[in-house]
Amino acid sequence: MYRLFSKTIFLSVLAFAAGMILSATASGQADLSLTGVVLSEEDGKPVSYVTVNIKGTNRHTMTDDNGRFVIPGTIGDTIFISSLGYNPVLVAADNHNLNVKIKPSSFVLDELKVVATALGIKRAPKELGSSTEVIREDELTQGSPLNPLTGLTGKVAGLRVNMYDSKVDPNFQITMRGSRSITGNNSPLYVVDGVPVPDISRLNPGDIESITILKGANAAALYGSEGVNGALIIVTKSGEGSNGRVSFRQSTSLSEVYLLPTAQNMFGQGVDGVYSPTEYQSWGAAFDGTIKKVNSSAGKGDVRRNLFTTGMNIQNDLSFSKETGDDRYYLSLQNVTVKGIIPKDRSSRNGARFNTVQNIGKLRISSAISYNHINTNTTPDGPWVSMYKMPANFPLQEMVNWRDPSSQGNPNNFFTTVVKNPYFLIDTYRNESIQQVVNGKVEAEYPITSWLKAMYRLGLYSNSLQTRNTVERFDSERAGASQQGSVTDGTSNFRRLNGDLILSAEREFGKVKLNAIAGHNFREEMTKTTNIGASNLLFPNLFNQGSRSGNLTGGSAMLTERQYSIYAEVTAGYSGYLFLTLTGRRDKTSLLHPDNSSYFYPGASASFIITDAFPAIRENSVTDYLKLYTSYNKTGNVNLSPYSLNLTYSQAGGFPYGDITGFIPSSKNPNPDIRPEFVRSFEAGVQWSLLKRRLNAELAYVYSNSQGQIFASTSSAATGYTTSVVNLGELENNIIEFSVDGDIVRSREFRINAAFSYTYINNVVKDLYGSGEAEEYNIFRQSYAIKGMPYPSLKVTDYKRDDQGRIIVDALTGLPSASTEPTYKGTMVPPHQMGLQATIRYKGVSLYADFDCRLGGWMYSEVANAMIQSGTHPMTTQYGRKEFVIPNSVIAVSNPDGSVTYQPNTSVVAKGSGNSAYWNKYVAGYSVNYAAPGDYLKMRTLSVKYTLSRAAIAKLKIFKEVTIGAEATNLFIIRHRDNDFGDPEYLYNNTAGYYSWRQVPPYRTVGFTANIVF
Amino acid sequence: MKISTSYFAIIVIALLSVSCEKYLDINKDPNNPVEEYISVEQRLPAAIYHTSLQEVTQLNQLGSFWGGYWGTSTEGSNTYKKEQLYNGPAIMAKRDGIPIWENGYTYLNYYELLRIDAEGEGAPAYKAIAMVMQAWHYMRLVDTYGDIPFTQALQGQKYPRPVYDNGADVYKSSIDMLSTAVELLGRSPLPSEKRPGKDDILFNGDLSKWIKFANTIKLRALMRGSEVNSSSYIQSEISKILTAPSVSTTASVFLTETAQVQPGFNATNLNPFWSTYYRNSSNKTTNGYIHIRPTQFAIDSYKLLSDPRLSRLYAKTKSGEYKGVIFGYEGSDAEYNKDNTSPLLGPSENGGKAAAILKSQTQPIILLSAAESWFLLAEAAHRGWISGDAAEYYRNGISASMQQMEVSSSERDTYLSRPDVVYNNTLERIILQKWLALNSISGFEAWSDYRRVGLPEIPNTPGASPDERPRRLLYPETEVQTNIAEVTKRDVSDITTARVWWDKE
Repeated sequence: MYRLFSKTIFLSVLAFAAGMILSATASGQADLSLTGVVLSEEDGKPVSYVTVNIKGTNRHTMTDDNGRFVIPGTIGDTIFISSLGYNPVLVAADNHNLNVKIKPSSFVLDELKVVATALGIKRAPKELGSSTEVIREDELTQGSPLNPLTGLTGKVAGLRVNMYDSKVDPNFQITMRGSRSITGNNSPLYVVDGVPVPDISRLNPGDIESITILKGANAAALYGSEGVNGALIIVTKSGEGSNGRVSFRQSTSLSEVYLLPTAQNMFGQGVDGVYSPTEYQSWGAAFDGTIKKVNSSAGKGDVRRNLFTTGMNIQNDLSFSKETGDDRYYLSLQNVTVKGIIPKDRSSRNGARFNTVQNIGKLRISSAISYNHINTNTTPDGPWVSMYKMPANFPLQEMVNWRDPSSQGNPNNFFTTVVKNPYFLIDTYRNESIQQVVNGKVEAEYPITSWLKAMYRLGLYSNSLQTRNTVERFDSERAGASQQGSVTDGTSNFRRLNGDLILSAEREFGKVKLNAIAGHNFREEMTKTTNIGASNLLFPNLFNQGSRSGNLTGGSAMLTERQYSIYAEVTAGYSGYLFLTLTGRRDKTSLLHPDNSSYFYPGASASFIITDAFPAIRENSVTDYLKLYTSYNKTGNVNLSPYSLNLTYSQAGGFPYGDITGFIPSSKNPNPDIRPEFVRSFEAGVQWSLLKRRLNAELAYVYSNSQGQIFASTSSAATGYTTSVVNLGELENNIIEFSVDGDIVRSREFRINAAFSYTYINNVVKDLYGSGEAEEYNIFRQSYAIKGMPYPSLKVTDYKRDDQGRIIVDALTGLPSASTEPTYKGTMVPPHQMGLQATIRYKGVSLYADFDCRLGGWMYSEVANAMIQSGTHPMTTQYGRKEFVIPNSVIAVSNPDGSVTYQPNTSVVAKGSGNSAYWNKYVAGYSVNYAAPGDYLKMRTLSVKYTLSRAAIAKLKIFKEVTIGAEATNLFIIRHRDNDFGDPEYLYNNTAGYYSWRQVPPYRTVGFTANIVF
Repeated sequence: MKISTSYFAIIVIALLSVSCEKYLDINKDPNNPVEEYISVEQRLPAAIYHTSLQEVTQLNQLGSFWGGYWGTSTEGSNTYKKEQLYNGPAIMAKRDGIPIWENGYTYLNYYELLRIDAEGEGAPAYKAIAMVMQAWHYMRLVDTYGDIPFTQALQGQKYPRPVYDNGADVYKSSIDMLSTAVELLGRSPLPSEKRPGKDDILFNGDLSKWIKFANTIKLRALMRGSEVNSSSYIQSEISKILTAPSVSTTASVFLTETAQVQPGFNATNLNPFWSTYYRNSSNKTTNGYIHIRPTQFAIDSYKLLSDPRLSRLYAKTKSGEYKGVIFGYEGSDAEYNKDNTSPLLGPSENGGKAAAILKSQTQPIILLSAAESWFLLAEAAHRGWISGDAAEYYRNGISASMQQMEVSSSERDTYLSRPDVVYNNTLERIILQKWLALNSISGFEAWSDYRRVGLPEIPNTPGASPDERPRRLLYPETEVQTNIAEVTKRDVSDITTARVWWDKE
């Protein structure tokens, strides 16, 4: 690992050390600090625990008991002063000793979390009738994630983020508040600067100012059906600093694989206990130290680990921003280089963003554009899949230079042809891709009258993907050692246009304040994919379809869908403490038959600020803020791809042959009468701040019910179709969310803050096909939707057991048999999810840690299945490869009266149980043997940051601000004792709890960051 | 100002709404044709191709393993483990199982939509062909699974969970379908009728051959019931075939040539048997070729009769002998390695000449061989169901096979005169010769004959007790998931004990 330390890291370390030394000399430089006192405008008394921040920096402090503060800064800085219960103020520092007055307000929530935006319209949180949370940049970028979704993991109650695998460019599954759709999409809507986009994985987390998480379905009224799963409202930076601001951030981290599935190293390659140098399976003789043809000694440690290399991730971010009056701009550039944990896997990303706000008279024009260019070059799953089947004596290092004809790794010499040399696979199977993502918007806003504004916003999201998958041809006289060369080139272009015309009005009538929005939206999505391939290339290193024998494969497809909508929202506020919001939206979509294509969905929400309605509570108790809220929504959704209403035909089986054409119908039975599905959701909650806002808590109860889901259900093939599109099923969610955060220690220089969130999700399938019909639906592999059971459920193949759960074996052979019905184990999504973030800040040093805990879910591993089959799993050695009596087994005994009783089996050994055939058929064949509770507690992030004091910076002359830090992710995990399979967080094909046989084990990272402002 | 602004907004919204109907009318698939584009002549070739594909790969493979022809080299023993260990649950699995059920019904649906389309287009010949092929598939499914959906099958969401019909009833209904189809095929067509031509990749539009084909399938179907059905039912059905107009000889109403499918295979789209079990389009040997080997039992059976077909079927090993494997043997003995055992003989190993099974990459797919037809007639005559000389039918069956397998007429005549080959009025000899003739061509028939009459006495997989033989498949996992009530009613949990209706203990 250490040989990979680059110069960058070395410099980072050096800078970190330098910072520590400088900090010791930094305190007490009065001319580099701003001091002041904050007083209440009402009574002139000092206000303590007010947050003081130099705008545009990470420098924060708090006023002491006398309202006084000291913060590093100079004349000309803008100071942002905010506190619960007071209006925030911006003060230009015109001298070193400031006197600031703040005015009490009805805004009682932490102002740093005030901005909740829908359609770019800002709202005070107290008006909202559903739960929201705000994650700001500094929280999001802990651990320097490449993808904003990584930064959200474990930080928001009700939001679950799961990583798919350990590739250089991993995918994520993100679900909010359980699942509402049996087979469809359960991820929230992403809205970037007011424009709904399908994906944010390419958004640079450093460009994000804040992410507001709207957990309820309320967002659907304003953004459309996709908001049924909640929404992440992302605001990118818009520019700050009247003198301009240049910021540079560098972070480098190293990653190392961990949590490999355990492997045995007692028995070597062979079959039936006999050593065989040509067998890849580990069913041979026990290792005895003698030197055999290949290598008969098991290596030290786990040979599988040696396949992995140390990954590296280097991120450079540069940004410029400036504000001039109301006009602003923000420009950022990013470069990322990633080296994966699989040798030769790599990826790079270059991106830029330019945001501006311009005012021309009363017209305000804002625009944002971002461009990202992502290159990846990886090998598919093969090397690891090969590796975990290899015997413990596999001399991996001798396989690297397989191109040498005399190498043991060369396919002509490799000890088996059944499983390939991992390095041969790494070098000959390559997947390359170039992705270009453009995301932008133009927005014009014009105040028609003092109370009425009109706005038009046009958004574009475009994703162009070019892929090239190649397999290098290898010719061999040895049967089974040859490999066909192939190439597949693909392009996929996706474009989404989104336009909103919004009229918004705001008027006051006495104590009643009215806000109203009316809007019109159109959306168009177009996809065009083309691919062309050849699977019999003629030359080893020429990857072009022209040099092939056999067929050219490929095709193209174009998909277009459109919809338009009208929507409205009205909020009435009474005296600033009681708010009622009504929403409504009508969508019309191209996806459904014209008779069903238009659908309406309404919503209502209310909030009541008790502490504002009855100020006496605030004055006479420890309570500072108490809010009750509730909402109800009905949301329509069309979970269907274009052209799904008709039966389509295609040519198959090599047709056309000359002028003979041959068309076959699709195996999916369409349903022209399909209708939108509807989700009803209800939410009620309370927010409470007390003890001078040192403690904030929120408790919410959420209910949702989705009916008539659109999904392609598996149908009996005897209907003529293997799947059928239906409007069926009902899913119900009962959720409790609780979060609390507070300052455990709060003083001017020392602060300990902790935030904890807990979510309990009871996601149940209420109905599938109607009463009297089938009661389960197979989602994917062992994942099921079962009527009356948690969603999704794990069902595993199991042995026939008696009523005490003992395995029934045959009286003669001692062998078990399969139970007719698979056994239910539990849900594959943990019902209990917890997150804890803790920050300790002392002067310029801050220590941050976050933990993630999920309990009550199940997982199963197909890696273990494959390892049992190949004899590398430790389970296969537990009886020393000798025949044994199946523990806790029973034998059926027929009684004279015809009844059957079961007697413990103590003597009948399972026939053939010392050999692979038994383990294949009777152990690997039963998924009960590799299912385990997926409980875990993980430390996701640990970081230490140090912000150089003003004095130290002054000595360095050129910088305004310097922060350096070290950070680590996935430092440890505690798993359930039965789980030696892998990381229970991983998933495959959208199926939580399913650890696929292709899954590459997870990795942990250690790295350094430096952030410099000029 | 205020009023005009509101009006402006209303007008804009109204304008946007009016143009919407057209704006949203884009849901017609630009990528794939829908029902209205497709006519019978575009349906028929793909449907027949898929029937023959299933026959020559999925069904022939399973039947060749369980009918005594095939085993695997040690290299291939993992690939075909579930077949060799009679692992019913693994075979029924949705994933990595053998989806005979799913494919069977999918292909049945091709014919169902063809039949409906043919009625709409006024093309009774297509309708009749669809019915013949549906009968074929239904009976294949009964042979594999026992009771299956028939009356409620292929009706989409009308019967999402079709009830299962008794296997024997499905056979009867299929036989009736064949009768109806023969009637339809025999009537003189109207001038306006659409009739198949080169889109009929089985008989090139020759409807008289379709009639014979249907009759032969019917004979095969009646033969299945030999051990359980009353002979009066069988006799009456056979007499229906024979009383049809224009019957000159008994044999003339049945197909006496090989029914083979030729869509126009070429150097890139090869015969699927060839590309699965021999060589791909770049002339590289496939895994099927490397992994599959004849059983020693098969080789010995030919050797015992000095059968000239042996040298046309298999390649010699390096040591110059014909060497087979033991079906189901799990050891990794070197003598059963791919290099020490005989693969199928192909032109590349035969001086470029056609061999018994592998002739050329564009060879047609055999759906029903002439030899099988003759042996069915021989058995029917042996059982006294039809008139005619069983010995002659028997000899014709052997001759047809010899011709198919590239054996010269002189070698054939020598063989036919052998006392241990000459017909001796026993069923054993008919079935043995049928078995020798259908090797790697109709493995499914060999397995079915073994289940029906227990002949020839093929060896069992070493790990199984003598009476443990695969007699059917379990209902597939997809059916367990979607139609559990019907599956539960049948309570089939072991493929070596539960039997299909015609398989008598």
